[in-house]
Amino acid sequence: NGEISSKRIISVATVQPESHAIYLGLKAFKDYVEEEMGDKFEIRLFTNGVIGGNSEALELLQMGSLDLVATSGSNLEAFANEYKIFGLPYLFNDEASFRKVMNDEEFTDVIYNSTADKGIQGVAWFSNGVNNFYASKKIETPEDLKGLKIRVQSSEANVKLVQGFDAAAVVMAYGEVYTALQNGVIDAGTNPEMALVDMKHGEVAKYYSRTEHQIFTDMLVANTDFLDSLTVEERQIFQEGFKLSSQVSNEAWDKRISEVTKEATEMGVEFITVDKQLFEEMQKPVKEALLVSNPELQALYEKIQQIQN
Amino acid sequence: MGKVKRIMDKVLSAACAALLSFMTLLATYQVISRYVFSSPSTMSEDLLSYSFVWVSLLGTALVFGQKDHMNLSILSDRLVGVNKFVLSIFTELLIMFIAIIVFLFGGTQVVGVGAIQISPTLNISMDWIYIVLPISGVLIVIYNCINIIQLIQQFNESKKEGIL
Amino acid sequence: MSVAVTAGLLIFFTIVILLLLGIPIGIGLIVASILAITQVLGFSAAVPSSALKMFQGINIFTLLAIPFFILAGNIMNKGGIAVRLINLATALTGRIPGSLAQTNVVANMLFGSVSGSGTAAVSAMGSIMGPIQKKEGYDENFTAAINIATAPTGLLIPPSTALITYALVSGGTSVAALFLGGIIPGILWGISCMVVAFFYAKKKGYVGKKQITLNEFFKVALDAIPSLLLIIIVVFGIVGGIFTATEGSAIAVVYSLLLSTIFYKTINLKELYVILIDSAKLSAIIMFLIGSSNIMAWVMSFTGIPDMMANLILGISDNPIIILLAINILLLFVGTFMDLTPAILIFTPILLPVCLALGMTPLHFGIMLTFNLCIGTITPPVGNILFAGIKVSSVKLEKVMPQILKFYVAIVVVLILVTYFPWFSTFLPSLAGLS
Ligand code: NA
Ligand code: NA
Repeated sequence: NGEISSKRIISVATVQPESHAIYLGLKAFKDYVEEEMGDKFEIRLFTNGVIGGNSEALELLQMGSLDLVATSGSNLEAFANEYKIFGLPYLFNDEASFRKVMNDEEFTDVIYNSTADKGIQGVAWFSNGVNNFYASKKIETPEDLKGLKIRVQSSEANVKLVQGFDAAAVVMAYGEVYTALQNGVIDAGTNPEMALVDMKHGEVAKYYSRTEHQIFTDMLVANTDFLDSLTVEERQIFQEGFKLSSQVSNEAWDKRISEVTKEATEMGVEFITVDKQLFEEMQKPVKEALLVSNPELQALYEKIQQIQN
Repeated sequence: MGKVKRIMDKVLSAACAALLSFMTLLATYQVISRYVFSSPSTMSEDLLSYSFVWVSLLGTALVFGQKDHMNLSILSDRLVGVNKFVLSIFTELLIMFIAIIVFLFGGTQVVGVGAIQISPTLNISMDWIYIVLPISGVLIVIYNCINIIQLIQQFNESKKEGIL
Repeated sequence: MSVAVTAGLLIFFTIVILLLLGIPIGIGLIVASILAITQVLGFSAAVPSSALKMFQGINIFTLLAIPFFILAGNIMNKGGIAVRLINLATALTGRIPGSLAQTNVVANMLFGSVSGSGTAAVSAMGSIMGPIQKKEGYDENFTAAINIATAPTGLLIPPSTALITYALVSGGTSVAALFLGGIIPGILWGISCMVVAFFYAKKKGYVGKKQITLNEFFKVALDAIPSLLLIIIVVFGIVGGIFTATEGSAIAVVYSLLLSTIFYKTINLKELYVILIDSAKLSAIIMFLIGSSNIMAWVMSFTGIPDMMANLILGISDNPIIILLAINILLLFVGTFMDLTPAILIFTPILLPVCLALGMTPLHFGIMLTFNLCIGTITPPVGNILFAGIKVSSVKLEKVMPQILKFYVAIVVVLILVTYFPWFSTFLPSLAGLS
């Protein structure tokens, strides 16, 4: 309990709260490693972003203040272009295809190693759900999106995607979205179902349309110096722990999604099934343009198509 | 010494005034672009935040030069002569210490981390943004040196005049 | 001794000593933080991390409202906009003892609530109301104290980013319920300070002397219309969803600038340049403190100080009334050293389970927690609103503190009500069917 000892302290940070699937995954990792090597290592988990926001935590990781960081893949775009691939609209057929691709080690090795020269090594991935649109009005066809002000996280792909639907993209921090939806600074948001309940966006946006336009991934990344300092046996045990964290988190995620859908329905949110083809059709030029402007993604893109089809 | 300080004050003040004006225009443009051109500018939010950090840290250096940062002056108001002199020198040295290790050394390392990172919205390398940390560190150290020299000069003069 | 205890003692004593020596507060916070963090991190990781924390503590979009509202406040002052508004306020309330101070409280509740930033409120109101109250013969330390003491009310009265932060960390408490729940405690905070100000002003004889005629009143009101329009544009722009609070602060700058340069012709280019520099310097002073306290918040959580303190406090009793009292004392102590947002992020997960076990609802706990930590924004050595308020009024911390003390007492009385009577937090939400 914080006594000074010879144990090596491994600091792990996430912006998620303790109720989140990722935390449960990290907790399983902690328990596993401490059970195997509790005499040598103590794993400290920092939740809720108390150590720093997403990109800040990655910088602290590079400086050696943190050993492991669970973060969204889009935050890694600043370090490696490979992560931009997940921003492509309708990249995966559906969530099952997404997981099939992410379970292909040949593919994930490319992703994991893409940031290694920056001192950041990918070690595990976490399912982060499917991005859909939600608003205070029904979105059933692409025409319904026309002219809406839609909040996105700042990235070229997100802005192009929204503009591809003839809507206006508004870049805004996640924490401001609730008030912005409430007073009409924005008309719609795009997030997995969690946002309805965890951020209470369901109180101010009553229609959730399953357009499934993007599937992002969350990542667990490590400081390369930390990994290099481990012996072969220690590394082996950590590797098992990373794999376990991914499994536990993904199972918890699926469970949470069904709970959240139920809770949101009780909040009065209506879930709308749409004809995905119509939306996908409109995004084809956007997808192609992004691949043309980022030619280095072409090989990865083909690899994904080959795995999922 | 006084002249160097006056020039630094002038340049830094002008930079701060320019940045603050720029920020006001940019924030207004952000609102207008959303309504008039109905295409929001994706970079203005980050550009605003970074300008804000710049104006804050350059301003921090300027204020250290003028010894106007928030403090408690219960003790320093009561001290006179040598004691007051020693405390003032200690204060300047402690500020210089932090400016060197955190702003200058730490800041240089932050720039190093930023150099391998591309800002997703501005599409420039982050070291150009973080460089304000070592810049303000250098400025604070120069101000500390000037302040110390001036403190010594004042102390010697008052000693000569026999006030002490 | 555990790392957390050593780090905690190091921080505490270093800060106390350096503060008493008159070292700039921000420097004191950084020195203390670096001494403490080297307990767990090597120097080579600690130093760049601290620099990054300084940068990122300022690199927050919503903080932009602070320089903008300071700038707008200064322009309103020099441009004669503020004085017209105050003339109107005095015409309406002139006979009440301390009417200018009372106006300041109401303005803080409205302004802080709309801008969502207590620091922005305290800066704008301090620069507007301060000089006028001084002219009317009010003690400048009292003026600064009432401004500071009531600026945090806007953090409780919706919209409130603090409550949104709590909603997220607490695992999804309804934001709408929290927003409604914050209203009564926030207003009570303001009213309790107004009562204190009333009696103080009565004792000191701060009473409007002359009664004005209806004719004069209309003249004052007419004169204030363009200035009133500023408030209307900003408030309705934010509430009506035309722009965010941060953008609204920039709009306030542009409007007050146009009004004073083109319409009133009270500010020329040279004066504007001076106003810009003064505003930049004032916000730099505040931002340096915010950056420094961000370093300290990081060090505290990284060394495990919050867990250590919570364990210490929660172990003392199993009587619910005592535990709640202990939690409040803990939070007041935390609030003295830690800024609002990091404290909410860190202490919600630690204390919420304990309070749920005592039978509190997440809504009631959230309001109590936020109310308590809001007090921390006006206590030294880490108190952004306190320091902004002091700087903007050009007074001294040691002179203002005795004046603020009586307001602390009033606010803590309200805190006790909010803690032990859930009604204050839950009445409005339950009226709306939200709790
Ligand atoms: Na508010
Ligand atoms: Na405080």
